[in-house]
Amino acid sequence: MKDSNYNIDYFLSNKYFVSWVKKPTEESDIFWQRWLKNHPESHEEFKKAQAIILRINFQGDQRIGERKEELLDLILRERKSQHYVEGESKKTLVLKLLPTLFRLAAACVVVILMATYLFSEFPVKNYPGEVQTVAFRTKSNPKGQKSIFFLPDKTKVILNAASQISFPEEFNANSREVFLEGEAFFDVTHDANRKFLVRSGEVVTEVHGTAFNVQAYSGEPVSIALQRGLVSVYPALAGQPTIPQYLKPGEMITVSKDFETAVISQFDFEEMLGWQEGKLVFKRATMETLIKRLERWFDVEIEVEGKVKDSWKINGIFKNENLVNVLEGVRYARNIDYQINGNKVTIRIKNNQ
Amino acid sequence: MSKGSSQTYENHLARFEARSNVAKGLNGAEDILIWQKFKDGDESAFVYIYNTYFEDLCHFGVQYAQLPIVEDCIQDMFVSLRGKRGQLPDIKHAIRLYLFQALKRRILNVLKKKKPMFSDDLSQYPFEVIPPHESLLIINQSQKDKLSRLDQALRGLNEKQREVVYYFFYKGMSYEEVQNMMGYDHVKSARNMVYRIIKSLQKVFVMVVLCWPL
Repeated sequence: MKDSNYNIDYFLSNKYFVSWVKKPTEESDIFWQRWLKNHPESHEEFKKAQAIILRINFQGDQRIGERKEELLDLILRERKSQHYVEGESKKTLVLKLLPTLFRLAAACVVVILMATYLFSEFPVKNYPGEVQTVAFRTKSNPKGQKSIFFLPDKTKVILNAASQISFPEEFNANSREVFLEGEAFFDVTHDANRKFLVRSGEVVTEVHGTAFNVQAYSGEPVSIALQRGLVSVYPALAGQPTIPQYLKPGEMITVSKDFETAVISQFDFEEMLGWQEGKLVFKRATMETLIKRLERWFDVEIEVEGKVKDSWKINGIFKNENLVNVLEGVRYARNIDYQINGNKVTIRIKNNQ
Repeated sequence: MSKGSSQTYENHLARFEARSNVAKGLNGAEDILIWQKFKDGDESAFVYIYNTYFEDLCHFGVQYAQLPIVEDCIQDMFVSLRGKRGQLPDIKHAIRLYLFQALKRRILNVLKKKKPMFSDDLSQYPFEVIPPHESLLIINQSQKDKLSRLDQALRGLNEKQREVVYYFFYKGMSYEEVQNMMGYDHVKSARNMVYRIIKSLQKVFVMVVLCWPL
């Protein structure tokens, strides 16, 4: 009985054993505990197999479940997602053209909107007296400070450091428009009748019930990262061709110089949205990026001494850490020296790098 | 070595299997009943199915793609199932298996349509086995070494093998369900696959066997 059938292989290939280890029920618990009692000679193999199965684990996502209710609601209303693909072979030409047609239609909508926008602005200049004045409010954060607040329509805004946002005290009946310089995350209150527009630099982001992040620091590329829902992005200048770019959740668009060369890519949630939770995240960040973000985050001025190689990159995640700890981290990882003098920081690159 | 005791054990197992299947509704009467209710237009049966399997489906899906894409696919899948509930086939196995198969098809379809993505995108390395958070079990360095060797062996499996590990060892699916998920013609292929995985972990076992106090 000593070397019986019950070796590790036996347990590992036994579906009921595996199920019990992964998801014990009251009944399977009783069964296997009793089994073990009756087969003391297999105790060791039993435990080993158990330990091995417990070690097998797969990547999950902390956000699983967050949208459960919301999605059920959409499903019950028979709404399909943006990724919807029908069985390829059955598609007729019309169906294939649909996305294009939709885009064209959407472009028309945007053009009309912009036209009305221009016309509504026009009278302001000619008949200032007759136009009702809308009071604007501005929220701004200095470097080193973040804030959370709600717009008049209860849209949640998380405004990052060194950023400023302006919005009317009351949105009008047709649209909700805000002006952003810097970086902010929006969780937009759904309102089918009033569009939500974010104007930032030369880019407009139009929202369709959504959570997304806009980064638009002056002199840097504008980037919009979509967490959920749908947004379209188009240039703010009426003269340019305005076929909007649609973003799907998990995608971001980066507009550097002009809209034509905008790039859509998948983004890293932690890197793009981590700042809301006080996480300073660097993934293959250049020295330039590192400095810019540290300067904004900690309200300091950073100077670099020594030559930085083009290949210099750094990864790191700092949650609610102070400047010294972050710099210590960089020093440890990349062999630099630093000196803090009030709000001036000097980073010295060592030559042997 | 006694055939007798093994025989009794198999009997035990069969009885246990029958009882626990009834208790959990696995492959059993309950799944078939709920599915039928849903097909007949019972909305609460539909919501029950959604609520029961949503998290499971998300976790399965993120082995292939980022959560937002997975959520989109789940949404579309349920919209489509609900839309053609009358024409849906009867369920032969568990509801979970049917949903998993449908979701897998859908996600692979969406990924195929996507442009090439960054190298760190999940779709480049589906079913990555990652060690769980360090548990209390780990007491000393030698145990740690063994575990990391096991992790290494698990990571060394190829994509198909990792997928089977997910179904069999992680989700506790039966060989028949593994066969269906993998699209094999015979259950035997699923069994062989599991045996081969155990074999390739064997080397590690030998090291682990020496001492593994729990």
